[in-house]
Amino acid sequence: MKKGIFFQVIAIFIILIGWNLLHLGFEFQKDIFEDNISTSPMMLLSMQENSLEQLRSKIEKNDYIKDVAIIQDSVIAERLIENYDLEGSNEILRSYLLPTAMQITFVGEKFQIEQKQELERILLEYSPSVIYYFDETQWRGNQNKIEILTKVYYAGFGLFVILMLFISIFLRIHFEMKSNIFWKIYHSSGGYIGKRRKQFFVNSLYICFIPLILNVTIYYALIYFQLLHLEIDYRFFGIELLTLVISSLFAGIAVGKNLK
Amino acid sequence: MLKIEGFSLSRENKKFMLINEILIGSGVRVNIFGNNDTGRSLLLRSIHGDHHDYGGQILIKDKPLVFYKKKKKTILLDNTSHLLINETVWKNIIIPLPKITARQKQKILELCTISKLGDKIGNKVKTLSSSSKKFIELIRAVIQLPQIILIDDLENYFDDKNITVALEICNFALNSGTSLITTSKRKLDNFDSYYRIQDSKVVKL
Repeated sequence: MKKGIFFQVIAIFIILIGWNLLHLGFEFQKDIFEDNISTSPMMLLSMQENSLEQLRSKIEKNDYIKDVAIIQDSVIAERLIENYDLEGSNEILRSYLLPTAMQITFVGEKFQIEQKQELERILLEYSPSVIYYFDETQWRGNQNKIEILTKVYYAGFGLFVILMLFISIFLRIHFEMKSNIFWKIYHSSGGYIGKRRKQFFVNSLYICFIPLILNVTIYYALIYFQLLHLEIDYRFFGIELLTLVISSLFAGIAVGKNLK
Repeated sequence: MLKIEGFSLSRENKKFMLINEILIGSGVRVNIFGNNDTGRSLLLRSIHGDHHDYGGQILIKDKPLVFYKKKKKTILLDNTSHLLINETVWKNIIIPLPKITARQKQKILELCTISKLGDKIGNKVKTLSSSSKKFIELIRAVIQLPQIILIDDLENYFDDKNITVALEICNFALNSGTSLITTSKRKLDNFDSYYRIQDSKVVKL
């Protein structure tokens, strides 16, 4: 492999690492915000256990619901006694009629504005008497952070696409122009006419596939050895490949007649 | 192998380099000589397929030049240098070769020895004389065994002694059926056939 091609492979490999790190960083941060949503449950209180049971059957199949747990009034009483050291007032507390509670935990990734509105609509429709507690400020804060993070990610993604196109097209044209003298001599000395076009195609394969295969290999090696716990959608690598293919096509068009 | 029929070049509506017919067989050395500005270089470029503005037809192995557009069968050595001056003699010789066989390698070394490049094979081309540079181009052409080697202004690069060496180098290709067509200002020795450019016409001697 020629020095020029080797240099391009290395440069693209480094850009791809940066691009993958941006993606992993985004996934990592998004997971944190989504975990915050997951760890903030909604508590529902009702004097009628049946209505909570009915409500559970209505909502538990939704994909944004992680878990629904009904806590009996007796259990609540025990927990109050335990948590607040109310052994002395045990009998008094047991004499009170306590409500039954239902704790809903969410799948952070899926519990967004539409899902929250849907849940509120179900609550209103089926159990209007139910009292519910939910830390909406925290949820909204996390949703806003996810939104900003996503916007920043897409901006970064776009910049990486532009950077990749710019660098790979520029480098390719630079090295092709640099080799013009060689090819002129090659052709005038009796070399095979279509060799340059063929070589350009072979070099395009090197440039498109070697850096990408190295990146994918590193990623799967990290996953295999459990050094990385974040997953990259395989379509993401497809976008990277597509960008590299497009850059090669553009470079081919730019170099144009020199390839004959 | 080479057939030129009714060939003519024109400049300002005036025709020159008129060739009624030239037939050149395989493995022959041809010298076309004449004064400057008679169209010698254009004739070679026309045979090579680099110049298309001519009358008549040129056939190589009974096929028109357009047939060889993608697979040239001729190699033209002209006045311009076609060498990578910062590369070695060896690298320059093997530029067009897709693979170097042991026989080719041995032959290249042999031809380099004949042209006194044997001990300079690892030297950079920029350190060599202009005749040595032309020997590199000649060896590179010869080793590929094309159908025709075209050398423009042979006497420009080589003195009489070196012309003999150059022809000796060409013998390797000539024995394999390659033909050699050279142009010069004067008639050169040791060629199989001669053509003189006289009054805008090419005449066989």
